[in-house]
Amino acid sequence: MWIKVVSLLARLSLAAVWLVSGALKVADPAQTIIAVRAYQLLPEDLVRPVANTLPFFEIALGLLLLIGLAVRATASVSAVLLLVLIGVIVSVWARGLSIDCGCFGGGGAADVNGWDYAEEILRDVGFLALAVWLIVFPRSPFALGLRSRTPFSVTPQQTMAE
Amino acid sequence: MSSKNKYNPQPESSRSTYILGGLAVLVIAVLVIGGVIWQSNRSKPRNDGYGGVQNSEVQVALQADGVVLLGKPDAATTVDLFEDPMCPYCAELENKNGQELAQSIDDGKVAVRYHVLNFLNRLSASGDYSTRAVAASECVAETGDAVAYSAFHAALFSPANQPKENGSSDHTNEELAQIARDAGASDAAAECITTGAKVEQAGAHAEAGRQALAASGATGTPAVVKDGTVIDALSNENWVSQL
Repeated sequence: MWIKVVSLLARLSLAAVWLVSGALKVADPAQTIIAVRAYQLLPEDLVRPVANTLPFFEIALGLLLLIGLAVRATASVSAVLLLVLIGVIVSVWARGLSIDCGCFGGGGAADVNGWDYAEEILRDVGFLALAVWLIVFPRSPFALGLRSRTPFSVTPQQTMAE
Repeated sequence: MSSKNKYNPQPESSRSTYILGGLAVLVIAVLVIGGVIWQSNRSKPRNDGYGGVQNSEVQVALQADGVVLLGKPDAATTVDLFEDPMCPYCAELENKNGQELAQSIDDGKVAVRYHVLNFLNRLSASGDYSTRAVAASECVAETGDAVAYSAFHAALFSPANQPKENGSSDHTNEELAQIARDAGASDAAAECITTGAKVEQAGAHAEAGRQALAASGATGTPAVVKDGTVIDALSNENWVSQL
């Protein structure tokens, strides 16, 4: 039983992470473009498409988790995306760039040190743990998806006697 | 009072679950696709293809305080534009509204007072890129060639040319002069940039601009000020047409 409660908490927490992160990026498109460009990983032609698409992709993941549809698949995609995000932060750190990760809005050049990068990575690893939990235990109450929700466990009532 | 209803446990794959799930997927898909299209339209260049100022009646003048005034002499309104050549948000603004603003200037709807600042020097590889870019901007403005000034201004902020903050390199004066030549600036302007003739003066002008920016009440660059009121140019993509 407690596993299902943990799954519910993990599902809603990860949904909140994606929805907040996506919404903050949608709210400030110029900042998001600058944040993506600051990583210096993508050619200029791809910076804008990625900056315009990524926030809505995050929101889609958040909505699917929120309603509990295809939880295992969504958690798997979330885990892959988090691994990519951790990877690019590591790459920025390794290349000695000094930028705001733009993880929750913000972005561009900033005065950051190794600790800031380590914190961002640790935080993302925490989110990754939530996603992994949901891959292993995708079922939780209040979910819409067929294989996501807990089977109803109401004991059949007796036929009432007249 | 009889009830023959026996409680039936809900089967897992009921039809209503499929319908609900399908609807949810549809709603999310519409939201995401619509969102991406909306966001792309919001950040793409407006009046793309227009280019820089091209009307021969448009004039450019370097004023005594280092401000560059670009516009037709009888322009309907004048705005102050504050920006630093290193500032990525200024580049976003130039990318989004630069061509639209050029067309508005050509049409005589607006004249722009460019205040080019240098507070981001510290984030440039050479330590004085902003100041040298301000000097270059003054060199081009001084020749009175409005078309070249507009093109050079756009080139300074293009993704191909703008140095990255905390980057490993920026442009030498020779490279700035080449960018100016490519924008159509005269040999005199290129010479002025290469020799750094205006760099010292540009530093003082940029400082005056910084103080004017602070006095305007704006919190950073880019800032557009009209009649003492700061315009929300980065968030409101329609600000040029609303002038």
